[in-house]
Amino acid sequence: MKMITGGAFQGKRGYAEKTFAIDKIDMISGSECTSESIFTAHCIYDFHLFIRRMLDAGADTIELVQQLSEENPDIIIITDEIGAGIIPIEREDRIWRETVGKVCCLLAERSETVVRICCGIPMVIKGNVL
Amino acid sequence: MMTLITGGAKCGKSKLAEKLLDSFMGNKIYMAAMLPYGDEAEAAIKRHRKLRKGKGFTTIEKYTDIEQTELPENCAVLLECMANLCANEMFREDKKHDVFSHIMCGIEKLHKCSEQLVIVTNEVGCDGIAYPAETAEYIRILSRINAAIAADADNVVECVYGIPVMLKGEICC
Repeated sequence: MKMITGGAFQGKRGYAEKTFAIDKIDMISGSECTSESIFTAHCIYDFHLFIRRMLDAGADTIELVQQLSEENPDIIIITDEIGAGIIPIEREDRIWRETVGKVCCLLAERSETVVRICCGIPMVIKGNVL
Repeated sequence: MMTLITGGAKCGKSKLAEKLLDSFMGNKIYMAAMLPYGDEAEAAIKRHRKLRKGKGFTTIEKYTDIEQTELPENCAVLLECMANLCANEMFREDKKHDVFSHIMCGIEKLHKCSEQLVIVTNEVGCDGIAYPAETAEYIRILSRINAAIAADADNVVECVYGIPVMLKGEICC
């Protein structure tokens, strides 16, 4: 499993396409994909939005990502970092922000490679990119 | 020795902070700054207590005026978290004129009176949202405090989803 993270619009998808030779067609969007499709996808982007939709649907997100790491251990996950701001006013937003933190800690722990992109510049913070 | 740990919400800052003091043999003091109001704060406090259990920390609740803390000799202090402390100082009824200097004075004392000081803070300026004046002022002051501590600290680490990224110095993670 590989993870690519960083703030919004930092060049994460472009980096993934180039570095891991992924076709756009092989990427699914976290904002609209089905919960089953993540178990077979090559790459998912906007994973933080996927978590939001699963939370809204009442899913057990920790259980879901544990299953993901077991059933699709080669997936490339692209997610925004959303926790480095002011605590949101709405309870649902607070839960989302904290859940993204928790599930991404779990996924990062199980990933062999984690890359963080800032201003288009990648920093490999775990493992290596071959 | 002073270490600053920063990062976003729920990204493993506390776990790393506690780990840094694992091998410390003297008195380990945990200074808790989070006010125990509301179910979410209570849940967070409960979670942190569980995480610390059995690790030999003595907990001191100090929501404001950290300079007034009496510390034992040969101690290590884990202060958590600066984002709470800064909010408590800014929004207290008898607010001090200069929150920045007041907090930095406290940090200086803790630094002087402890063998190891580990401060957990929170990055709050990266969500790109324009906030009302009071919140914007909070972001400004907390960021200024973080920068001032980082300038004096031996180590500065950012936690990214559980992965420590060294910004200054060197620690064994």
